[in-house]
Amino acid sequence: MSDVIETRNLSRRFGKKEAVHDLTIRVPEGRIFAFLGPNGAGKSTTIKLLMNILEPTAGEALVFGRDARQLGPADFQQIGYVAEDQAAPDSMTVQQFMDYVQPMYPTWDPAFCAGLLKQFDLPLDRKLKDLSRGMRMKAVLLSSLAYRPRLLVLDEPFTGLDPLVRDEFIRGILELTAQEHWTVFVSSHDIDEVERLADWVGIINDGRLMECESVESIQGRFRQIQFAVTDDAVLPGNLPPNWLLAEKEGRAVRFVESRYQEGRSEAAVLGVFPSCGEIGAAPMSLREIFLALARVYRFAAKEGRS
Amino acid sequence: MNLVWHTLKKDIRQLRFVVSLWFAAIAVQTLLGAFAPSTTNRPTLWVICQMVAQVAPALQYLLLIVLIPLAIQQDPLADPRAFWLTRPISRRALLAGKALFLALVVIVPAVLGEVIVLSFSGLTPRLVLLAIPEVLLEVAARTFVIAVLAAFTTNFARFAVAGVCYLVGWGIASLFVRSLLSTLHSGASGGYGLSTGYLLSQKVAGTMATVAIGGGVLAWQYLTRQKRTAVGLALLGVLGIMVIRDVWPWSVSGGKVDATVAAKGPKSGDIEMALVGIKPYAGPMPEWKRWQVLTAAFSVHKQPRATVLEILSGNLALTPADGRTRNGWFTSDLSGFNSGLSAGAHALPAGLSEAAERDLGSIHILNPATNAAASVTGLHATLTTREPADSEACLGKKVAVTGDVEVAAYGYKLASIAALKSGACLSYGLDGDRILSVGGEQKSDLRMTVTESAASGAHADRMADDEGKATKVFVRRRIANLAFEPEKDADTMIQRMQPWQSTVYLLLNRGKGNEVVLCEAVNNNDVLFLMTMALRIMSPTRLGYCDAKLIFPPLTEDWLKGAELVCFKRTRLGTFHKTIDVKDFLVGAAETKANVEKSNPE
Repeated sequence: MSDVIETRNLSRRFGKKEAVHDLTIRVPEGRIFAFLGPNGAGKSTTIKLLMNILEPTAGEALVFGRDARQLGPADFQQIGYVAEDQAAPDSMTVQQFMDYVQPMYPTWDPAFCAGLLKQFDLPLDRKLKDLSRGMRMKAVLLSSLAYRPRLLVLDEPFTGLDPLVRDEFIRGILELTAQEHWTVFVSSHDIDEVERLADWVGIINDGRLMECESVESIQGRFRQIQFAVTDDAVLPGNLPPNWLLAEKEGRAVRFVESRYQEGRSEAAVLGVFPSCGEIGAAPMSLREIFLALARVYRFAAKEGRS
Repeated sequence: MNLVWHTLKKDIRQLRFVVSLWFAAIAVQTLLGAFAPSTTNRPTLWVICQMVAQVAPALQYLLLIVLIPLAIQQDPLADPRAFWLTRPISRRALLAGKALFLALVVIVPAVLGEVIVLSFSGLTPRLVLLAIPEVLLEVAARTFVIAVLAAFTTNFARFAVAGVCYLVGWGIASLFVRSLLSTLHSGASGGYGLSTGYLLSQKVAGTMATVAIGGGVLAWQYLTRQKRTAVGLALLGVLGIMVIRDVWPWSVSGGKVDATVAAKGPKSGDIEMALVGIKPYAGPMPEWKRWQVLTAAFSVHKQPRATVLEILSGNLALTPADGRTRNGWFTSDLSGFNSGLSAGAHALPAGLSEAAERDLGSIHILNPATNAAASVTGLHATLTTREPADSEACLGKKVAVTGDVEVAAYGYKLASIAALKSGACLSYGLDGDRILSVGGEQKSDLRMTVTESAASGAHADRMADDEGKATKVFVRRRIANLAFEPEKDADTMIQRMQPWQSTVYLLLNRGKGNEVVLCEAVNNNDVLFLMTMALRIMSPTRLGYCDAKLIFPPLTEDWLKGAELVCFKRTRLGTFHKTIDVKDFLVGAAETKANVEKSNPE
């Protein structure tokens, strides 16, 4: 399976601020890759580097094996790009918009487009600027799907969408990617929604890639560990590094195990707290994992600054 | 290519309202510019056209600075959120699409409008063809400047701010560049001529540079989207354009500079000239000048036939017995010595009758009284001294006079003849007159006071005119300035500022034995109405009109029936210098003279 997206030590600097630092990722064909990170982490910058909207200051980004700086019309005929902040020809009606976009794509499928129009319930005679945010996003998405792109790049596509539209949107993408075997690269804050979509996840913080693995793997690796200890027990200073956000509240001790292995992780707990009670290891949602990591990064950043 | 057309069609469709307004503005201005000047008996329409001509260019400019940014920013270059960036449109195709839009929607209609107006103005096809590249360059230059600013900005508000910054920056930088260049050239003598062609050549060179640099920066920005480099190139380019506009040393028209015109005329040694009198100036003049002005008279011998001499400039130093030298310099003549008739001068300009004989054959002048001045063989000029006391110190005393005068020699030449009827045209190169009406009173704002000279004849003519006895011919003068027309000398440029000054009109009736009636006054307001319409935005000086009333003595309808209007133009034949060095020269005594302007019932 060839890589549709690959970055090698990709960096981008804006003045003194390094928005993306030494980023290396690979997205094989057919994968739905969720690119997560807090605000200002460098997600959108990475996507703009991939789409040749910005140029890297170091490293390289490859799309379909081509240097992203060389992406031309032939490549964009296979790429669908939808971004939250993307400008669109707002003075066009939906119909005019489709008529404008269609000649750019030899693979445009009118029947497929008609089906999507029906599915998305878009009014053809309304101008884009008169549509709600969700409807406008759907129109832009439709214009990026009707030619059956090999790669769909979504940058914060769910921002501002109400839950119903969001659900429709995700279902639409899921159905289509399943049918068409598209590669999807999606960045979002909405971890719950992404969890439904993604089979692979990359977490970026402060321009640096912190995690990059399959959703299954990361969810298997992270556990919320909880157990009871005696009142006088204290948290030792030298806890294992894979125990994140450890805290004691009353008699309860909680932490996030980032390298969970059934049996071994429990044994490690018993090694530190021999008299602890029953050890609970609860699976974590992608959202919980992300939040935990985000707190860890923020704490680390504060430590670094101090 | 399909995507280029696709982009063009999309832009036109999206901007159809502004594009329609733009086309309508050009159409209205073109129609008015083309047809209004030839509406001979519709002064009201003419006045309306003048008003439209004042307002429409501003509207057109406004549309231009709205239309171009909207077209460019349909697919913005400076905005990373732009839709086209992630769509399969190549930068080259987008550039081609926008260039096509600018060419077909902005440039071609504007040029076409101007060409139509120029064609209908009576210019020959050759001159209209010569005007096309000039117009094209000017329209393209303005378009590119606006397009470049639009390409650097993401929306109209930012474009407006950038435009204001550009204008302010241009003003400051051009002041700086000009002062720098003038400092650098302060030691050079005569480096810059004043000829129209030369100045227009600088303008054309600057425009060509603007087109080249603007087009280059625009293409660079489209093909690379490296905005910083593009802005840097643009700033360097603007400085380059400023320098080119000021120091361009060649004439694009290939004409000769005015210095060489002197070679055609009489030489200093050909003509004998002597100072014969200096006395206080007695004619009407501004009160503040009264006792500072003297009149110097020179006798002239061996003056070539059919030539007129006029002192252009010079200085005289008067040294009375007290040994203190009083310097004076020659200024424009207030004495009524006129080459044309615009100031109501009554005298027939010297050399005209000879020129008329030469160009029309044997003629019989019906108003010979006006011919009295033809025998004038002297030269008069006013000499202004610095302080009244300087003049008074010399009056009635013998003084030593030294100095130098520059004299220009002029000759008259038949320019054009046309039948004396409404709508007929006298055409002479870039300029020309259209006869609006003959005999009747034109209801317009043309009835202006004739600023009289001392010549009492003009006053009598005006009175005849007031009584409705005079024969009047209303004409409309067309004045065109084209950069690629062989250049005119400085004298022609000055003449054009006072369009009637260098023209003499006659009425000729060949059926009655070449009888000629000389025009005795030209009644005009000396305001050059600009009627460039579609094009005024592009060049306010390319085409202009002004009206005048030619006043002839009373003539019968029978005589006028077979008459033709004849136009003689004065042209400079050359210039020469004379040195003055006279000892013990008696300056005329002071005399009290009432201020004519003040006492004149007018």
